[in-house]
Amino acid sequence: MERTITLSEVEHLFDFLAQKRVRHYDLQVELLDHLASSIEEKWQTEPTLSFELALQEEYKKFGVTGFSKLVKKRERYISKQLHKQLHRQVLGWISSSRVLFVIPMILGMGHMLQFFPFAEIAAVIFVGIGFLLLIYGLIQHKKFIRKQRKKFYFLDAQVSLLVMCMNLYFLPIHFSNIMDYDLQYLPFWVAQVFAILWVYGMIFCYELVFVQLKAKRQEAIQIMAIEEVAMS
Amino acid sequence: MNKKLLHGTLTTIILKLLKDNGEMYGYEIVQRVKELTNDQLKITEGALYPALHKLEGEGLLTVEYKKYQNRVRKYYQLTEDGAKETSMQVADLFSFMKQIQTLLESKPKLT
Repeated sequence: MERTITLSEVEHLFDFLAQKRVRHYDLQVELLDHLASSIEEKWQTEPTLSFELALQEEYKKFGVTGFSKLVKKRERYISKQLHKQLHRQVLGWISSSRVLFVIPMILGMGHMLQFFPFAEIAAVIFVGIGFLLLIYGLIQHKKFIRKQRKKFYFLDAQVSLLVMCMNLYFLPIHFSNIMDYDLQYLPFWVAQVFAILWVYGMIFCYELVFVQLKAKRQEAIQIMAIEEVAMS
Repeated sequence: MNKKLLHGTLTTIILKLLKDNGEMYGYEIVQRVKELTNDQLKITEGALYPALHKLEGEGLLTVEYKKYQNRVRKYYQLTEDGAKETSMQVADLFSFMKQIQTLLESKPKLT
């Protein structure tokens, strides 16, 4: 009978990967399967080889740097992919019927930014909405990790993107400070650019928190459900 | 076999294998290449996974997780864009190989 990886060896592989700084479950699963498959193949010709020795031999094939380069490159690719995907989703608002909501918002915001006290009220409202979305997104993320006790890079990357999105919200304020603009006396074109940035930022955060993060959490739950069935 | 030559064609190899085989997992891709080339070509693990993740990031591959024995296995498949990209890359590679062959077989000019 062919020797296969046992449940306790699977758990040992998870610990091994965590020790080697593969902390995200989505990558752990892939590398674990690779290591397990290659060990099982080794056992076909050397059935008495110990699991530990087989593991060390297979791990050496990942090179001197082990998993670290692989982890860094994956994080870079996923972050890039997420950013592109979200940007496409935001632009989708303009090419769909939701443009009827976007254009009035930009024009209304641009108009409010030119008239005191509306300029400051508008700025506070939009930055405030951004903060609320950020806090809501972070709370949902923390709750998920606490409940599932597993980290997924495609979720962590989205939360990092959410925090970066806040910079978009502050960009108009930084720009005003640098150019010494008073919010109530903004030139017309500056008010429109600020309005576009703020509306873009709000849609970006909305898509991230209520569409992407939600969908990715579902995906993560499905993967863990498959693992639960596999290990039962 | 020159590793740099393999590195430059790795994504084409992966895309072509997935086009021919439907869905595959990482280790299976390594083994299939060894099998098809009689052990002449060996894709290293350090090269394979970054290439797969890059293709996934570019939207050319999609993934599906399935139960395998007592663990989870991640399968890769081509997307529609991936299928189009495969045809282009394979055609480009064949064309490039033909050009290189012409160059290497050309006789020196007599002065």
